[in-house]
Amino acid sequence: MAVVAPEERPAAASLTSVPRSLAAAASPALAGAMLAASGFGWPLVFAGGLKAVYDLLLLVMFHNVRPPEEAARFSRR
Amino acid sequence: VEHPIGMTRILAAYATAVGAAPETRLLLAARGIRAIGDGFVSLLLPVYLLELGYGPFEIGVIATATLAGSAFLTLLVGLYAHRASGRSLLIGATILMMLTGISFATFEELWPLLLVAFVGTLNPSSGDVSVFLPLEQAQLARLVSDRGRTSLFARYSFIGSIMAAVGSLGAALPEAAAELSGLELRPTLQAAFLVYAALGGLALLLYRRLPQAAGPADPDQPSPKPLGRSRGIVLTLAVLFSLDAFAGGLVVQSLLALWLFERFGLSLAAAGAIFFWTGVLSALSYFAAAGSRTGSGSSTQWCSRTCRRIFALRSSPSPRACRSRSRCCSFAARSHRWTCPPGPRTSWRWSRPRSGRRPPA
Repeated sequence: MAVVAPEERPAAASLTSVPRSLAAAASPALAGAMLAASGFGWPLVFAGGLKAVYDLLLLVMFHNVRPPEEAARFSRR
Repeated sequence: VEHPIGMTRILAAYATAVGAAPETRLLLAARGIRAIGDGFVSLLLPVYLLELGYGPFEIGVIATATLAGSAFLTLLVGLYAHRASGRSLLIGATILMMLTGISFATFEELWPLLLVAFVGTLNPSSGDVSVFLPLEQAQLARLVSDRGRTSLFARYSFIGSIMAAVGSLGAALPEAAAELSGLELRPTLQAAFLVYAALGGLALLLYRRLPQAAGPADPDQPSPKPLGRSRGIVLTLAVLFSLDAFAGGLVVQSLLALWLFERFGLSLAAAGAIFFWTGVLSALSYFAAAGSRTGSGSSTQWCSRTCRRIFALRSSPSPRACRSRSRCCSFAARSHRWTCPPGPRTSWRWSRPRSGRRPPA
C-alpha cells in the first residue's frame, strides 16, 4: 500500500484485492476434491510449493522498491 | 448485556494501551471482535458440515462459495464505496454478518447453506479474506501519516491474528458444552453460529460509534484518481498476490482443520489448540515487522538480522555456525546491501554486550 502514490491507493487496493480474493476462492473446492480423493495432504504440498514460488518472485522483483518513508531515510546514507 | 460491553471496553482499553487515536481504536477493537468470530467459525464450519453428513468435497465447495461471495462483495464495495460513507458500509456488513450466523444455525440443506455462504460474511480462513478488510483499511489509511502507517497496519494485523487465535481456541466450547449438558453436538454447534451472529452485533455497536461523516482527517491526502504512475507495480503485485492467495486457499483454515479431523481423528479442542498456537506465532511475526526499525520494506531484513543476532549471541560459534552465518549474511548482503556490512562489528552492534563475552569472530 505504501509504495503506491496516495491518490492512487483506493484504485490500487481494489485492483490487488479483487483478483486475490477470486484466486483464493477457486482453490478450496479443489482442495476439498483432493481431500475427498485421497487422505494424503496433497493440498498442503501444492500450497507450500506455490507459496515458495510467490515468496521468491516477490523477493526478486521488489527488493529495490522502497515505501516513501524508508526511501527518504536510506537516501540520506 | 453487561458482559459483552465489558468485553468491548477491555478491547478498547487494550487499543488505548497500544496508543491509538479514538477512531483507530474503534476500528482495531472491532477488528478484534470480528477476528474472534472468524477464528471460531472457521473451525466449526467443517465440523458442523461433517455433522450434517457432508463430505470433504461439499465442504470445499461451501468454502469456495464463502470466498467467492466475499470477493464479489468486495468488488461491489470497490465500485460503489465512494457513494456511501465507510461507516454505513461497515454497519451494513455487520448486519450481514449477524444474518449469516443466524441462517447457518437454521438451515441444514446444501443449497440454502451454499447460498448463505455466498451472500454472507462467513470466513473459512480466520479473517484473511473479508469484505470488512478493504473498508477498515481505507479508514485506517486515512487516519495515519506515512510514518505511522506501517506500525498501525502491523498492529491491525496483529490484533486480527491474535484474536482469531483466541477464537479458534474457543472452538472447543461447543463440544465441551455438548458433553457437559448431555445434548447432541448439532444444537451446540448451531448455538455457536448464533455466537458468531452476536459478535457481529458487538462489532456493529463499535462501528456505530465512528463519526457520522468522516471527512478526510489528513488534509494532505489528495482525492482519489485512477491508476497512473503506480500502474505497473500494482498490476505486478495483483498477479503475485493472486498466486499467493490461490496457494493460501488450498490450505484455508477450515479445510486444514477438516484434514486434521479426517486424517488424525483430532478433537475440536486439539485442533483449536493447534490453530491457537499457529495464530499466536503469526501474530508475533506481525509484531516483529512493526518492531523492526525499517518497517514494512522487507522481512528478509528482519530474518537476516535475527539470524545474525542468534549467531552473535553464541560465545564460541562452531565452524558450522560460522559457515551458515556467513551464508546468511551474504544472502542478506546480496538482496539488501545496507543491512549487512559484514564483519564482527556489525554483529556486535545488534547484540547487547554482556559482561565476560567476546564478540564472535
